[in-house]
Amino acid sequence: MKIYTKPVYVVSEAPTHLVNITGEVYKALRESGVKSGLVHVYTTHTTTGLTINEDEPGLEQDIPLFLSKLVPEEGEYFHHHYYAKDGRLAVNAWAHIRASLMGNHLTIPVDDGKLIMGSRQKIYLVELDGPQRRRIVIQVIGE
Amino acid sequence: MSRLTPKIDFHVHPVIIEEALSGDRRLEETVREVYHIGTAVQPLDALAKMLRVAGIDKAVLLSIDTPRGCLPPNDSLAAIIRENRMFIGFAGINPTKGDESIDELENLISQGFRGVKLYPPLQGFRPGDKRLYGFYERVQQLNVPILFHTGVSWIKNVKLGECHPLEVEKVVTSFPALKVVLAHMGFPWVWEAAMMAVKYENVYLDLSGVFMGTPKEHISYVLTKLLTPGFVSRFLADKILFGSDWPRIEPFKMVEAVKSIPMEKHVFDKIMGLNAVKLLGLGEV
Repeated sequence: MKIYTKPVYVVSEAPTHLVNITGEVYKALRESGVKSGLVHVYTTHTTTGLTINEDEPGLEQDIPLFLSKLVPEEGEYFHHHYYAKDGRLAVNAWAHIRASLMGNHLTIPVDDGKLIMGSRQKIYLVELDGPQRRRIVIQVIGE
Repeated sequence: MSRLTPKIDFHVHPVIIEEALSGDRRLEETVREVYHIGTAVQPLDALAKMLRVAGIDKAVLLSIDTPRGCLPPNDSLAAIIRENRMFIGFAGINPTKGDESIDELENLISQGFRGVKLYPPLQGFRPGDKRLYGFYERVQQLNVPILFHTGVSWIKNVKLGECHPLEVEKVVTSFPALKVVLAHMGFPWVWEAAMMAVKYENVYLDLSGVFMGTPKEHISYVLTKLLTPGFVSRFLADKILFGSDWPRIEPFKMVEAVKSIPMEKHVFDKIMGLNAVKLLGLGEV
């Protein structure tokens, strides 16, 4: 069994931003040479999420907008205090909570060297406190 | 954004910018030890994007000559400001070295730096020390501003008592033409800093940093509770400079915080950029 691990870096463009990373995942799969197995996509951050959804511009706005209504910036959050570890005030509890709702990993089956995905499905990094450079780890496991 | 209302972030520390660190892991570790910054290193492109989404046209990048060296190095900062019109450099200089400090000042200003950043309690001097007067005299002649750290410091070895804005008053009275910016509105000594800016023609305040809540909570407290909107409008409209204090807070969040304050448009425009344009003698932004 092969295990191929590849970190991918993207710089998000806005405070909230759905970054389509499908091409990067396909590229890693090709590089791995795996024909049958799984692709695991993982974000190493606590204020980003991962999701699979349709690449439709309206939805790319609707998803972060809905999250912002669900978890508003204004509010009493225990996280908002001086955070010595970062040498600054923590002011983004809402981003962490939104990220928890999104989840931080995805698994996609691979068959015949291709991701098994519906025609409308695309893989997104969901930036929730950008813009920033973000690291995603793609791990391909199989034969 | 309208070309008539430039927005300038007057207080950015490029200490975790990849290009400023030049890939030097030891330098990155030093930055983390001195400033206690835990957030990830970012490329300059990410900082530019952070500023653009905040509607900011230009940012003042600061170096500080700490006891562990210039962070970031003036050389790296010089390269960044030479290659990117979005950025303005303030040099990190230790002013206690007499003629050597003055030579360094002249050299860095000739390389395109537009001001000097001093952090007296971190750098081990008191602003009013007369041994520094030769340095201040030359800065005044060169007509560039000094941004003094005042107010709360998160740096562990820095004593808060040495960060009081009135520490700078002797400098201001001895060099009345020297342009001085008091960082962080002197928080929590905001009234002391504010009255310095009211009383002395060439004293300015920067709005950077958050110390008692989210950016909206902090800015609202400073501009509408500690001070009053009327006082800000009538006494300080020409004296406050917008600043973020990145990477301790993101510029976008600070801009949103200032926008949330009820403020006349002409006051907002001055604070967000016009005052900085005037102070730095910038032409078209």
